[in-house]
Amino acid sequence: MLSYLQKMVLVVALLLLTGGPLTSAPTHAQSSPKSVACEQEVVVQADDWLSKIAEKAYGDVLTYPAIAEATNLKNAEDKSFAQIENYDLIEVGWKLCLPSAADAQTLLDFALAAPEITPSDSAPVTTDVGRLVLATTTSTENSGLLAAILPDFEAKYGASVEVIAVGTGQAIELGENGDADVVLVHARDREDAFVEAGYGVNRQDVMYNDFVILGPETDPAGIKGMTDVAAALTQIAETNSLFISRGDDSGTHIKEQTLWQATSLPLDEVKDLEDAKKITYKPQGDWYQSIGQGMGATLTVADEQQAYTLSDRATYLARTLEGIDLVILVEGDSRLFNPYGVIAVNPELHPTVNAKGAAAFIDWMTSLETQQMISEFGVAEFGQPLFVADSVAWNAAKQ
Amino acid sequence: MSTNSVYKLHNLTQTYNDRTVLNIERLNIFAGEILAIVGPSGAGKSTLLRHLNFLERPASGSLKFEAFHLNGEGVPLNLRRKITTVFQNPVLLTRSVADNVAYGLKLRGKSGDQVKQIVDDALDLVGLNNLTHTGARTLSGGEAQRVALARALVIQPAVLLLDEPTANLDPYNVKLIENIITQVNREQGTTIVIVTHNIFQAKRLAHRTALLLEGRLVEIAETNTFFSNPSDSRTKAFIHGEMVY
Amino acid sequence: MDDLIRGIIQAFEIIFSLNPALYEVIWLSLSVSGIALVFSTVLGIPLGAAMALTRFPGRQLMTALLYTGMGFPPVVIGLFVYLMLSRSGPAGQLGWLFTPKAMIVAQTIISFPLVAGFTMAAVMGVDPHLRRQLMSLGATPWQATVTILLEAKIGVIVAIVAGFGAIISEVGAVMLVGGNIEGKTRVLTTAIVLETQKGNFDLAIALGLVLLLLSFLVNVALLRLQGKAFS
Repeated sequence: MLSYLQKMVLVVALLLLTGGPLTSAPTHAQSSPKSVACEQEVVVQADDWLSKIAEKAYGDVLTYPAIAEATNLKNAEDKSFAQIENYDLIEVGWKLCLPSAADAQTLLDFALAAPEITPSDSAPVTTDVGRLVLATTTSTENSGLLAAILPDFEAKYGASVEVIAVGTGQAIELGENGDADVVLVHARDREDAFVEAGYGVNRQDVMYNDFVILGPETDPAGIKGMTDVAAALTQIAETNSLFISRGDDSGTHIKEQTLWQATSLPLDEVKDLEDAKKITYKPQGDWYQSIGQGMGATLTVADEQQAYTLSDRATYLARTLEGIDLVILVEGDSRLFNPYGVIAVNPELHPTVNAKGAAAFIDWMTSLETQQMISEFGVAEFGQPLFVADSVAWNAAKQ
Repeated sequence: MSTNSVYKLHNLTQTYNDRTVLNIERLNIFAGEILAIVGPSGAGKSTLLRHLNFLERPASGSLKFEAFHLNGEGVPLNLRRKITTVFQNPVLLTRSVADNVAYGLKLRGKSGDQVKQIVDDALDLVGLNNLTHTGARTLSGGEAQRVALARALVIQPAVLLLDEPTANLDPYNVKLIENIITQVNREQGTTIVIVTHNIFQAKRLAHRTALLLEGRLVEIAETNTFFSNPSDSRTKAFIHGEMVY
Repeated sequence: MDDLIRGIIQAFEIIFSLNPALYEVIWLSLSVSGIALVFSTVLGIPLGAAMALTRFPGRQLMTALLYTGMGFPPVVIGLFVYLMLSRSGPAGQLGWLFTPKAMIVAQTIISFPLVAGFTMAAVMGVDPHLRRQLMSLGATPWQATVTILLEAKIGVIVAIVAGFGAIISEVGAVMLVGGNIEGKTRVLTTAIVLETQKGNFDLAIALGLVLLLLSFLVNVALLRLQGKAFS
């Protein structure tokens, strides 16, 4: 997993180096190497991986990007060298360039240098994309993220973005009906289904945040500091402590259901009245209250009732400014991870959607500058970012 | 006709916005008489009737009804219920004619066949027994006036106050209502005060007639005397139709 | 358009499926709004009648307040009730927030000015001379007032219908103070919002139809009552 991510990161890093389309060229401390000498030329054999070759040549699997970059640089001069677009895909017979260990290190340092983003003083992109309808989850709106970053997009692209902040379910439905041009949601399975069914195209990772279990300071269920979210939920159930569920079919609600399913508690399975295949899981008992509202309202209700609830960190942190007595009791379990994806609505299905605007939005959303804004959002107010930037370009640049 | 006074008014005044609209120095109304009050529009005739029905509070002066002296306190219900008024423009309830006539009886806790009988008799008397179940709001002016009379009569008041009861009615209805007035007075001894600007009606009905001018009682006398030998020049002018008003 | 037609067809299927959750929502809507209507009627009709029939100092101010109340945004009333009943609010000790009681309070405040205001208008529409004539026929002040109210009954029924219509279809305030808790404070309007947000348009349409049907039936029932009062 890790190496795969790193590979992806480097692909993008190279694209950036070569003046790729994702962002304006960043300035770096070092200037980009223009040419490289090959200490060794290697022809790819069956079962070869770049990392395997790298280990053999330099004794470090992680140096493989240097090989790829050197080969690509060489390819510019000499077409007998391969052009490596995907580090995971090298083919038998390709000729690779292995630079000297020192050159390899230079290439690698360059590739891994953290990007320094300079604000773009250049004239805004003049493409006038016009009115763009963005269907998104309440968390992006309630946390104030969109308000902080959208003006930049609107200025750069001459766009006017209409944000419809709803649950993930409705956001996706809006996309399916062609009522939105682009969706920004967090429910990976739903997103994939949306794309597979042909409703959406060009899904990109944008960022992630995490969920936390909140509760009153008194913590009647005694779950403070637990790292196993399933165990914590079980304890809430067993102590009949009030738990407020969003119950609105949102990404958070869907996440919450998977967490309950991870416990061994008996769950009620409620069949959807419309779609028998869609089942809502909920634990049994009066202590569990489903309110069918957005995150903000759910926090309000939980705070008033001094109840437990599941919230995304961003919305919770934003609410702490307005005075909320709930505290984070459980965090850090990998099952609380919450990735956001952006998807354009398929213009072939709905010719009236603003496809140009959607594409521009996705480019912008995943661009380094926007990702930088996302990473900085909330730091001033909360001392920690609300979202972790996670676009391919960003991760590549960060590596 | 006895000469017992039912009402005794003394220096009774009424003011609206500092304007004195009624100022009755002295007026006694006798039990069982028909008293006509004539005078031009705006003379205070209707105001006087409202005082006699305890529907207004005088600004000053005294009003005595039977043994009761009007003072700051309320009028006992049983006394108030001895008096009723038929207004110039009666407002009927949006109910049937019979229900309208029965209203005063229902207020007094009467119900059932007893009420029905009284109502039927009253409607017979005013000649409207064919309209018993008609909606009262659909009646013509003359019919409505007769229903108003019937609903006043069923409660058998000791004092019946009539405010221009035949204004704007056709001769047939005028005749009918005048007959009922005299009949009720004769047969039941009801004291009747009738306000009218029609001196001929006063002449036809009243035992005594009074002239009210600008809120003041100019003259009160036996009807014959009032018309044949008035003592006040203004009365003379009024009955000869020479008064400009 | 397809969504709408398919939605309506499915809506009827859902209505006739006798789903207990659906009927729970309907029952709660009716009982919360019904109780609120009883309160606002009991308070609003006497106040409306009193303001139409009597003259007292400050009456004009009261009238202005009442008319303002009639046009007051329900969600602002919801916010007010929320702040009152909140844990940190003056009435927080009651523990009414996010219970049907809070919804009844909010709906009573919403419908009360409507009932009082329309009653006042209806009673003022009755011939002003009627009271004097009723008194002359021997009515006590109370009997006269009752008779006048009966004369104004069409207007008073309209007042009650208007009050009911305002609260059965209201969503902002009940969402705020009720919290839309499933099985506890979820009513038709908040359920419609929820199902729409979930993308369950069919169910949302079904609930919408039920709401329409309920309003219609209640209005017919009140109008029949009015017809009876006539005869």
